[in-house]
Amino acid sequence: MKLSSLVSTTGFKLSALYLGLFLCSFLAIGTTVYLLTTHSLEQQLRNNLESEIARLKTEYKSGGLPELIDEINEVIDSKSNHALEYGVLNQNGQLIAGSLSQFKLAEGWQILKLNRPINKTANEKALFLVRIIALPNHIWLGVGHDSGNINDAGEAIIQAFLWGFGLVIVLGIMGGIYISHAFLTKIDRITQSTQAIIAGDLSHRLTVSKNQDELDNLAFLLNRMLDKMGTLIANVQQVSNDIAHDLRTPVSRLKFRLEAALMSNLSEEQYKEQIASAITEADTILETFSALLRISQIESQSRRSGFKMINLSDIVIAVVDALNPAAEEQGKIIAFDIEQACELYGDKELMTQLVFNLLENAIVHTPEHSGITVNLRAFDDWVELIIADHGPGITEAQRQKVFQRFYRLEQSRTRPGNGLGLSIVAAIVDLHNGKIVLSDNYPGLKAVLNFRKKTDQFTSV
Amino acid sequence: MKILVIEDDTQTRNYVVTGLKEAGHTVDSAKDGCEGLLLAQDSLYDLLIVDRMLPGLDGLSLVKKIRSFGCSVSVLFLTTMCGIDDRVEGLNAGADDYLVKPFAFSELDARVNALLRRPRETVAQNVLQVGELEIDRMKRSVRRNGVLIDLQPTEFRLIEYLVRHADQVVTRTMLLENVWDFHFDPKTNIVETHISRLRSKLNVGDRTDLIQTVRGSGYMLRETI
Repeated sequence: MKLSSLVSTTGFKLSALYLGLFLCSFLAIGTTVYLLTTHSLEQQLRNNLESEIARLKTEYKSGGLPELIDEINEVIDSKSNHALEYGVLNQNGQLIAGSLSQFKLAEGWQILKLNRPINKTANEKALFLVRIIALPNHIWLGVGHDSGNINDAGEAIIQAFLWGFGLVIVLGIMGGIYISHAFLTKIDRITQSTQAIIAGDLSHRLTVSKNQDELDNLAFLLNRMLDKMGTLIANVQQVSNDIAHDLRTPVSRLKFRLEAALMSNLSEEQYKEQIASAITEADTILETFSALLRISQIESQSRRSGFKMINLSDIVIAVVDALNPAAEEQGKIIAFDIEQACELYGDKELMTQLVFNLLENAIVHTPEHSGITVNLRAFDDWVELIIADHGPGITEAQRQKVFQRFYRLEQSRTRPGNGLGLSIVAAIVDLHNGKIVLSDNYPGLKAVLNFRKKTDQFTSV
Repeated sequence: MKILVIEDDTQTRNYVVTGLKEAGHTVDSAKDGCEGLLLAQDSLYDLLIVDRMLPGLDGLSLVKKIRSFGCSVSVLFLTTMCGIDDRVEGLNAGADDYLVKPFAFSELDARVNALLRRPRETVAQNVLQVGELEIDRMKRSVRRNGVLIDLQPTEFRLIEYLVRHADQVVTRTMLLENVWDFHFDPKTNIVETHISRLRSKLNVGDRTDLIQTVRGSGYMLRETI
């Protein structure tokens, strides 16, 4: 993993941004601490000087100049408060007592650069804060103190913050690299999986860790998308396989028929007959095509966008009504018990076809002079449709196979039909998130269909 | 009647044009969408037959354009696009009918005639009279020579459709779509069985059959027998 790729990751950029923000606030805090500390130290110093001045002023007032000089000398000698420097000047600026002499004759605060009183040998200059007042009889009194320790404290604070600053930068960059490295590792895994899929392994899926972070969520969603696409691709492959295999037979049959007609010597009437039957054969093939396309369209589930509340009772009644005369003509009776206003969320056209295909199948398979029953019931949140006949039924082993495309119970395929009727039924049931169960009707076949009435099941899909 | 056929496949175009000419129509043709649009704008046609997948301008856009100009000519889509949603999409674009290829010419002919006769229907007539037959759409009653015939709702819709298209061939598919609203091809002869029931009710007492079977095409209700 190159450093440049690390630096360009979102993780690193975000870390750098946070680091910048953090350093800015760090700087602000440092400045505030520095200013507050130095200010408070200076204030303390000023208070000290003010109280010393006030004390000396009282001395001067009670005992005059000699008392003041005595007091100052006493303090200097005792060295009890050795950090303080004193100076008493006359009106000409000449030093009468103490050692401070360079201040200007003006009341207030002054900052002077003086030798440090403690180690005068080093001849070290230091800044002094000096308070000056004018005493009666043109005497000037100044008391000063080395302000160097305020600067020392400030410097210490700055130094501490500079160290912290450096530490934060180092840790921030390291953290950024760590985060982006972890991020890049995950992205790399996704990239590798994607490349495997591009290379042709359509069953490959992205790894989803247990962390449940946003990348895992993304990977999970991508996996679901891949699943969906896999189904669609399988669907398309299935259709092309079906076309390739199952349409070859009828197309070759058509070809043989036409070739036979061409080679034989027939009358005009017979030729017409041959052509008519060839057209019928071609129509069957085209119908199969349409049915296959229809199944794959239903299976693609794009039709769900057009779902609305439909009245299944009306649909079942319409289908029974449409097929009833045909059934009666064959001596078959449709007995129905349909609950009114069974509603569900779905597609009217497809539901009509579903009911039609099932009932048509039942009519075809039930023997003459026997009955077919159609029941529609609504329950709390689902509806149940049962269509049962008294035909030969379907053995248990074959019950799932009948939903496969082109699967026909009689292998000779002599009866009309393309073996797609129940595949369409299965696709429509699936589209509506329903369930179809085939069971024994003793004798015959009983198809039980369940559909949920609710709509929310589709929003989550 | 003047018809414009817009179809890029030469064989299909010739097949349709020849057939329609033989049926007595004046037929123009265009081989792409742009040419078709120009012709449709220039002259007054009674009907446009439009393929959906056309070079230049596709059929759906063409029909939408024509409709946006306020042109109310009848339009029939003739297309291989047989998807479940394609038909709805086509009709929503402003077409009046939708026929999927491959088709029998008799089917196209019947639909063309139905569309060309359409203006008559727009007059909302409650009582329709065809020969001996009288239909009251409000009361949903049918009389032959004044004698009331008791019909089931489906049978009433069936005879109503036949009466509205009297003297025209009505195909099985047209009936499935318009009477039952079935848009798939059932194996069972539901049209035949219903027609046969309707016939037996209409022709009680050995009277002449009003519904004529047109072999290989469909049915026709004759105004005069």
